[in-house]
Amino acid sequence: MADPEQQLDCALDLMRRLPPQNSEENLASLMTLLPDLTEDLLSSIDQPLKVKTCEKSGKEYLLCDYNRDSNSYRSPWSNEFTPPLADATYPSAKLRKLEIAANDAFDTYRELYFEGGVSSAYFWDLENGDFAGVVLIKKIGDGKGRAKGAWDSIHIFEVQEKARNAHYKLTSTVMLYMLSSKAELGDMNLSGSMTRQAEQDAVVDDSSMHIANIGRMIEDMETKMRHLLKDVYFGKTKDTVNDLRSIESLAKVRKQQELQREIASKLQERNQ
Amino acid sequence: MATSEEKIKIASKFLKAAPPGEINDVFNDVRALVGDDDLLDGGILAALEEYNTEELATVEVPGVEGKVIVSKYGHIEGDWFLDPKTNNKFKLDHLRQTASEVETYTVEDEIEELRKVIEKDAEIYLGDRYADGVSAVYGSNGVVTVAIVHNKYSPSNYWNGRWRSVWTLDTVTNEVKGVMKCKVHYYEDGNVQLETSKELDDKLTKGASEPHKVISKVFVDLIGAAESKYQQALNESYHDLAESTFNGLRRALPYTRTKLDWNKILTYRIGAELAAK
Repeated sequence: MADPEQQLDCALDLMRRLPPQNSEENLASLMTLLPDLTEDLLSSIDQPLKVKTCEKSGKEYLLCDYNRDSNSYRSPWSNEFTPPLADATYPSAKLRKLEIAANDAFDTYRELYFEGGVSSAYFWDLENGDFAGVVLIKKIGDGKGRAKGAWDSIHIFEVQEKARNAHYKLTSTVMLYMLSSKAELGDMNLSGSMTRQAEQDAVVDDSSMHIANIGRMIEDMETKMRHLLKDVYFGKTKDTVNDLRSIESLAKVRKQQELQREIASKLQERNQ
Repeated sequence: MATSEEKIKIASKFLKAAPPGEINDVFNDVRALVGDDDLLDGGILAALEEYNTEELATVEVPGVEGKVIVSKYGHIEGDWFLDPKTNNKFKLDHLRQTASEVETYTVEDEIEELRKVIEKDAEIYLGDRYADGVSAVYGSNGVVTVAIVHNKYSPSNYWNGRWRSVWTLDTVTNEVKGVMKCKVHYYEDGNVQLETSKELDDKLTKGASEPHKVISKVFVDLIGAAESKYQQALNESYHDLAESTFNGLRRALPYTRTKLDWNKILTYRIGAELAAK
């Protein structure tokens, strides 16, 4: 019999290799192969975020594994599950207050950085009064020009309170999809995801400060990841393409390099 | 539980999607996931064959210098493939990507002489644009096919890349068809992939009545010009995506040019409610 832990590792390794463009289909195939690991696969493989409209508030919210219970999803605006669920788990009254505040704060954050899109925050209680949560943001490009783009942020955090301090652990994943199609270009698909982690201690005088602390951490992390994504997407992969084929004649490039070396050594001779 | 048929179908799909240089890694994962080597060994051969011929796998052939391309244009029968450069055929192990049982194999085709001239010119072109590229030129039924592949693997730095192009010249109609594809995988703490594809139709300005070396030069020049033009379009698209699409998704800073004042947001938006706790 195969070892389930090893199988999960292999499934995760596979998802790191297969084209991110097909991640939803690949996840479905993995669940067909490994039905016993369905819950593990769903909680450890990030998927593009889906948008749903809250029936009560009319506002949009995002779906992920953290606001899912069976086949129902909880709206951060109404706190209700759709379709309705009898034995659903909700955050405690105290945590729900914080969750409402977080949804409002990240709405402002999203508007300022993304100028559109949808955001949702979901919190859940942990043992000893600690808690964890996820902040989700999705922005689909306006589609001007012939290129399409989509950005999904998934920020998962855990909070441990220690007297007047709190320890925060953050795992952030950004999924970025870009497609372009033009006559001279044909089809170009540049897509994927990157994940980074951070830990931090901060002062908490009253519980509302958690949101400011988490907010600052997520803001810094997202800004850092934006740089990183820019570097990998438009720097590293582009350099690789131009390494695979040289836009200049290699003979010419080599001649130029030789010439440069000659000039450099002559200059050095003169300076000696 | 998935049926044997479903398992093979999924395993085959995963294998065919393997990024450049990672077919063995994908195979090892798939093997652990399926957990039935007997089923796998028989079932995935077709997928491996498709992967090797579509991706223009390069293999070492005993007694032949340099690498040899595996492609459907050089497929003879069963697991036998042609190396047109050395007039040899070899037997391929699709799983291990190894060649054995090399035998002489002479192609008797009217265009063999033209093919040889194009083979030389293509090699010169390759040396000038691909630092470590491999080419193969096939001829059959009046059609010359040029296959080009260049792989760059750097698994220790978590990236791999592949450029592929295939060009055909119909020597009767002078029609040229080309397809160029690029794949890049970057996977340090993530999984980012570039996948591109561009097809092209063209026609040679000089035809059958010209000497072979003239036809060959015009054909290989056309390939070079088209590939450079495509590469330029790709670089321009990178620029557009970075400057416009990417910037339109998330700003580096809010339009106020300052980071958020989180304390203020909280007091402003929900201060009242939280203060009432």
